[in-house]
Amino acid sequence: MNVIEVNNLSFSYGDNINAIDNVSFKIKEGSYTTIIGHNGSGKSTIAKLLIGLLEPLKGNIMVEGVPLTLENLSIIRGKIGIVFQNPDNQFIGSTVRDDIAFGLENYMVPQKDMDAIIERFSDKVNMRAFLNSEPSRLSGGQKQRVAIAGILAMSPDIIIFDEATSMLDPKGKEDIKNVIMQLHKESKMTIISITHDVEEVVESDNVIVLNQGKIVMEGKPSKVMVNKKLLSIGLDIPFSYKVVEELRKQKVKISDEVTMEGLVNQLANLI
Amino acid sequence: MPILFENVSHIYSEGTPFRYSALSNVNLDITEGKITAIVGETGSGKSTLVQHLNALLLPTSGKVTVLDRTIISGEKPKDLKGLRRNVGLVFQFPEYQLFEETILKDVEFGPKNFGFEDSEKKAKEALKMVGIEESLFEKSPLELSGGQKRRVAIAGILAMNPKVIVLDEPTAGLDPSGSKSMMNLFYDLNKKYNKTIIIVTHDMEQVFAYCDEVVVMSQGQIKLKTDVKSFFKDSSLCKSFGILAPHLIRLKDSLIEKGFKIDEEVDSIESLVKIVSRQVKK
Repeated sequence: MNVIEVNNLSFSYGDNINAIDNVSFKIKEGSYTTIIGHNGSGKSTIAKLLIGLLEPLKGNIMVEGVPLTLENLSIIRGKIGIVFQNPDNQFIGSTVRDDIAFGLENYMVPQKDMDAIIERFSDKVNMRAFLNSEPSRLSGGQKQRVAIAGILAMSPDIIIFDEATSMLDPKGKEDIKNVIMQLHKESKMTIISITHDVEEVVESDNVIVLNQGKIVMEGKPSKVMVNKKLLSIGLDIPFSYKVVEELRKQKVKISDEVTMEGLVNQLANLI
Repeated sequence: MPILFENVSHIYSEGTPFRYSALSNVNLDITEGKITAIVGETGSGKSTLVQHLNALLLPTSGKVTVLDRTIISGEKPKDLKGLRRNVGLVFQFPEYQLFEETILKDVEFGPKNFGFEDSEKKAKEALKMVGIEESLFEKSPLELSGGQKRRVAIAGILAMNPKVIVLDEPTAGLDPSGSKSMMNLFYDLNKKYNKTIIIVTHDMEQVFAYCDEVVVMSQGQIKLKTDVKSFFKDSSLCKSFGILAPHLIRLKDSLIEKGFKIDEEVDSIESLVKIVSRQVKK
């Protein structure tokens, strides 16, 4: 089943240039989709349209069969959670516990249930030990994990990561990527990650490549992310795919669908 | 001319409950004419260190020598203009600091301030260096994309023709091609114009591909200074500092673990694949 259907979507910031230009795509329930594009390709605009922060110029968005309109906004927001780029802009509470509680309080979750929910989801992102910590004591990656726990506590069906790792240091990036992978494995949640990290794309089920507001490629990462066209639109080919290409040039028989680990194992079997 | 830190410590908010020791007893010699990477986790003191290079921060104790200037703790330095002109410092997200009406005016601001008579010419040359076309010169900086804005901000520093250029995470938030062309720019500035480049970065792929020397910081101290080749000989040194080695080095190490023999130096995918393909069944 498709949880999101985007049909002929266009959007402009009022400068006669379409930031999003007649874009259509579908996202399957439980899938992990990456949306990739260079700075200014329209990828973050799509995220804002998907959660109704921006209103489309043309076209429509259906979320689990419900059309995204102003009237349906609260229904849609109950289904979709979003984690933004800057961890500092998302911290509301004075402690980690308060921060995760904020959304729950807004949804009038009874106080007696709240602690259990907070503990469960802080556990999921490995932040339970920090529940009473102040935000200023946390690293960027830790803050971002708290933001994720806050979203998970609202039990959305769909979670969007809008460049959630781009302001973090390598360790923070790795932590968040692991949380995303774990969510994908262990929950039925649909994950959409907007990124310009080509290495993250390798891990996803599907990738949508945006350039100048249009979809230029779409499909399995192993098929899409080998296309040289990526270089001309400001992106890069993931490391493991570059290695595969080079190996094939040297007549080494190696199959598609490789992560670094898979690549090493394949080569080890040929030794 | 030297770039030298001798027993330098820096303490923020000394004498208050917020006292924080950001650098402790740093001794470091940065080689002139090279590209040096300063790496280390968030909060390790990298930004504090580099802000001493043009006396934006003064040492709480110790001595900093940059080219012909020496800054000694406890002495109030006089006339820093020369030092500030010779050492250009580009902060993180410098695009937030653009303020003039036009791009050209913004880049001219620095050289004008330093009393350059040909500030417009200098500004135009600098804009050309960073790849901003002339048709954009009279536009407002606000009309540019994020990557372009950052180029303009860097041009503002280049227009003063500094000998040393210090960049604090210059590619943070840029897409792969934006990062690559930014790094190529610094590489050219070093190779063609003989500028000393000091880059604070988290990106080991960049350190591996572009830098000559690497300084590892942790908890306000220098843990290591070495050349990039020996730093990335294998991933063990990186690992010992909690740093993720470049893809190529990690791949090489994993392959060795699986029984491949890789003794030669590996500096590209091509060179690694050549060695590996000789050892597999085809």
